[in-house]
Amino acid sequence: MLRFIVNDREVSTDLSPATPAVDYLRGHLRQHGTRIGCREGDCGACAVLVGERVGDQIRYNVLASCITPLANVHGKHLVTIEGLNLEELTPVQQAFVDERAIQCGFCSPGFVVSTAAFYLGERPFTRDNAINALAGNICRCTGYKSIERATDVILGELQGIDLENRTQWLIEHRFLPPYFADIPGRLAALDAKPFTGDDEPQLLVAGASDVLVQRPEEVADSPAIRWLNASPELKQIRVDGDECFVGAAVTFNGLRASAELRAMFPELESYIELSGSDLVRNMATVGGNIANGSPIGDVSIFFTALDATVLLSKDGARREVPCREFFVGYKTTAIEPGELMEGVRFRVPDERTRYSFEKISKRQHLDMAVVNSGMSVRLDGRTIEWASYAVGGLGATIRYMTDTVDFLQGRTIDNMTFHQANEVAQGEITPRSRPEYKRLLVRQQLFLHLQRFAPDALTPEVLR
Amino acid sequence: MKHIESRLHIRGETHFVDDLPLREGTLHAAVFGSPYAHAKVRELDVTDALAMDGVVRVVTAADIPAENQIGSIIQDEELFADETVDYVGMPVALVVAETRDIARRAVGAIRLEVDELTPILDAREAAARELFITPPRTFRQGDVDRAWAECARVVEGQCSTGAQEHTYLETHAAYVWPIEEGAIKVFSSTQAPWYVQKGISRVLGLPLHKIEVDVARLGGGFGGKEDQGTPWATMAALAATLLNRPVKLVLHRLDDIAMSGKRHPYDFDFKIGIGEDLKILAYDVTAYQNAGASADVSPAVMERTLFHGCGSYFVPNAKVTVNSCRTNLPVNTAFRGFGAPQGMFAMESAISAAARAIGVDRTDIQKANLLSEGDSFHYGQTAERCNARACWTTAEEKLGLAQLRAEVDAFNRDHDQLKKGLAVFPLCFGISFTKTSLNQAGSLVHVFSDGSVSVTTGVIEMGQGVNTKIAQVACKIFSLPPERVRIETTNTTRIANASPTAASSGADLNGKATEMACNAIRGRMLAVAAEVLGLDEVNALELRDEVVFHRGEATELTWERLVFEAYERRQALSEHAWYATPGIHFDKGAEKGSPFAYHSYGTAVTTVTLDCLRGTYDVDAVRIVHDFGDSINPGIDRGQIEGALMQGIGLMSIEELTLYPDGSLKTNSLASYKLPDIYTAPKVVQIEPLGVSGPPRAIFGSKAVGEPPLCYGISTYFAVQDAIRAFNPDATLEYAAPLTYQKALLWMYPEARWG
Repeated sequence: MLRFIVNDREVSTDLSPATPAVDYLRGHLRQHGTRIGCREGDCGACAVLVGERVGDQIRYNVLASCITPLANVHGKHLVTIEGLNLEELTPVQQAFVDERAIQCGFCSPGFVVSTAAFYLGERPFTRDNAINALAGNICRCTGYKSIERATDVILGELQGIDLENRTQWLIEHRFLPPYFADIPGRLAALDAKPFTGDDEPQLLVAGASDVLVQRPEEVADSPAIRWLNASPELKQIRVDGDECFVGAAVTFNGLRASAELRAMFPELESYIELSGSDLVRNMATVGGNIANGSPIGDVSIFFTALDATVLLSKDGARREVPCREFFVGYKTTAIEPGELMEGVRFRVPDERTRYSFEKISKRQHLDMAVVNSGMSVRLDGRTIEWASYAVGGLGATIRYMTDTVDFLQGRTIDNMTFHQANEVAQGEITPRSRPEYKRLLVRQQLFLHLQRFAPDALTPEVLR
Repeated sequence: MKHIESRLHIRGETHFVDDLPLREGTLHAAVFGSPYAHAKVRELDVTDALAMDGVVRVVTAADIPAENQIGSIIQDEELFADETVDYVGMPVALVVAETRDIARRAVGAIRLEVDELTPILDAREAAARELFITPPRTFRQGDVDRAWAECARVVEGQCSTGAQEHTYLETHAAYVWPIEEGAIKVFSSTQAPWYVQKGISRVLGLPLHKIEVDVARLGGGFGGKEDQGTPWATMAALAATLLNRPVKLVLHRLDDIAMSGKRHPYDFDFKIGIGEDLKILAYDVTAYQNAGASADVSPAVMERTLFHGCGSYFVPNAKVTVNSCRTNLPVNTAFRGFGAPQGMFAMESAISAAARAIGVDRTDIQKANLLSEGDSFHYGQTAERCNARACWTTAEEKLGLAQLRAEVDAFNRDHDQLKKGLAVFPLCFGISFTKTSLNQAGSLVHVFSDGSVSVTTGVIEMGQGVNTKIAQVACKIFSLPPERVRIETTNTTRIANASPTAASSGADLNGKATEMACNAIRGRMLAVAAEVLGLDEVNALELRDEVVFHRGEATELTWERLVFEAYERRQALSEHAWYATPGIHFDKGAEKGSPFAYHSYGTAVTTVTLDCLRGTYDVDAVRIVHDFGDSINPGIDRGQIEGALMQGIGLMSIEELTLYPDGSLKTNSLASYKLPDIYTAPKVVQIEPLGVSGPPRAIFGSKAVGEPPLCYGISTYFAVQDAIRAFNPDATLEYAAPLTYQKALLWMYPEARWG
């Protein structure tokens, strides 16, 4: 029996824990303001907030309810557009109306929900962050300019927010209905035990953001699922000396929010922003991305380029597999039946170690990579002492660039090194599709990585 | 007035078809589409599907009581594939089950055995085999063959535009209830209730009056629900009739993308001749339209390409030919712009090729050839109230075209890794259905005894705000506040034989009909007012803010009282009016006439920044001078421009539809077909009204604005090419939209080599 709160109502259900939240909301509760646009987390029409207790506060995240299994809202507060409505329009809704940011209206509730995630969230109230909060919501009618104008008005309305008493301020200023004030107490009283599912599972599911798109029937029919999101030990990010451990159930946005990781990778936020939208980044996990074995997994590239190690366990026995050996074929990995991925482990970069990530896709944001790559180097001045380099999108698996790494180690970054490294790199890749373009992208990204490590050492003429 | 449904929409309270409360006994359906692009059917095996728990019936061509035919212009389209399948995704069977999930699963259990045939996917190849939807047509002006000799420069080339997926956020949907006497009630997400009605009638053998189609509004249409709402509503109607139960069919996004048609891809061969003074002396273009497997509206799309083949330019010697080619792809269909953007892209490509050959700026040729008052279009119509030059010069002055060019050049001198580009696009778009008979519309207006008003027209609200404009017409004529006026659902029992909502004509046609209906009622009411007030000069009376005024002075007669008095005097407080655009005609034999009520003009200036290391680019700004006429709703019209522009930019930049060699879609989902997101939007969209009054055939002089601004996206393509040339002046550039990041990068580095 799953128990949670939908808007201001406590509910319990015997439906399968794998049921997508949107089907429960629409089919069982008739909350039809949550719309089905694509059923794969790419449009935002089904956006909902899911709030969970953190201490005596509730932390709200926006999720795509089409790929959120009910198991992952157990014990939480699920908020739909109906749960944000007041008798009169809220300032957000009024801004959308006034700025004519509504045309056909199908996507509109999703934008309101994503905006709510912004003002309930942790990020500073800047325009960039406000727009970024809407980046997973597709509107085919307006061309977005009116939505930007509405967002500017909303940002103005949020000036003066009392962040110490955020919920109260938002209620007083009609951004939230009054019942939000009672949710922390009500969730505590609900006292729902973590829903971990089956102890002898046939299927392990964490965020479900990919599996509910690719194999919804397999999830629905599976008699025994273990729900990994309910296991706190898998959500940890720990630094032990010069080793860092990232749990398999850490989400993409969990990576982005981690103070430890941000200190290690100053540009982490911009890398993560190239992967999905908040709707997906709040659910998609490190373990899911790696276990999926996709040749373009952004997080997989990120860790492989760090030369990280995957930690696996089964019946209490642990083993470790380096990322560079982990991906064995198209969507096939070194995981054996019954094994659980606990997380990944990598050496904490020292002050001389630099990291660079690049990705090109058909759309600049929130799209699958055509080619993505990451490179990590330890530098002595401009000389590369140690390197690690992985490229995605070239074939069945992520490519660990062994030859190029061997070549780069000991070299000084300059035009000649780039030129020669590119020759080596081109020699160790065999792009399966669009080879001309992908080879060019590998070269360009190699240039960008080295340029990021030594900004003045390379000149674009070397590309001509 | 704000969009009248905006409160409903923003609170999530709107009932789209999938949101309607379910009627008892409702069944759910899913469609089995062909996995093959071209094949002879040997056997359709539905045994396993039927055996599944919860499956009620599998409906196929064999179950059709009347005709297996839903083609509108040409009767060449089956509802369900029978002897052959002609594209991947072609509907073959409909599974009806207790739930949507069961229906979809059962679809997966259907097997189709076939003998495969070779699919034809390419329009030029289809043309070579003379696989035409309809015979090719040519529009002519002057004599191109004689004109080439007079040209200082003649340039030939090829260009192409790609498909575009509509991606209305609400997928195709229909919900059908059987009612008494074999009649049915249909809720459909369609732009054309009358077409749905006719499709069902033909398949079920029912007279039209037994088929009620009701449409409240659509979650986006963009042309994709003009002809293509019909199959799904017809399938649901067939199943509902066979089972005598309500049946709902809402397409999964994957099915919608796989089964429904797109914007037509086009290939062109062009030849352009330029005089010493940069005048276009001759233009000869042949288009190959990829229509897909059936006609749908392709002949009409083809016609609009013929009309718009010369763009916004006067071409004394023109020959425009279009071949509508039958291929083994989903049935391509209407999409905002309707063949015009494709034809205009060819002309702009020809101008670019000529400018490059001559060594002048594109704008030099563009400006030298803009249409002027009194010029003859190549289809015989005379340019009247022609604002092409006025828009261009206003763009020069108000938008500071020369300054923008100078800023781009200055930026490019200072930057290696980023380059900016600029391009201008002049717009001329003909307003009316090119099929003259479609230019008619009805409106039914009721004034109720409490003074409230309802209006039903044949138009479909799909986000464009047309119902708001209709409400404005009624409010204006009755001088009432918006709360008094309700726009009803569009329903075939109230408005018969309504043209589809298309061709940017909805507000003009239905607004004019509403104006007529309201004026008729208003006239009767003022006669009553004269009687009540004891005055015999009706002309001195007017309605103002819910009060009758006499010679500018308020009387004691209020709107509500007047309604009561009119009722007591047994005056009709309802009116059904019908409008037909006057003065338009076209002779298809001569291919000459005056098909358009008027033309819509504008000029767009697009600037982009290209990342020369990555091949990605951003649209910095699109600055537009647009010919609104006297906009009755500037807020809605601005939204139409911004939205259409974004779709046009998508068409020219990132929206790329790709196929496998077997004819199935690679870009089969929103994960792989990328729509513009908020980051794709231009950083600046500046829209300046031209400030010239509109023509009488536009409603209150407010010019149609649905489709024309999509074409402003075309300048994106040439602005990016401008930036590429700034990086690599020798780049060999093709004219093949969309200009993806892949093309941009490969064009910048043609010499890239590796060991």
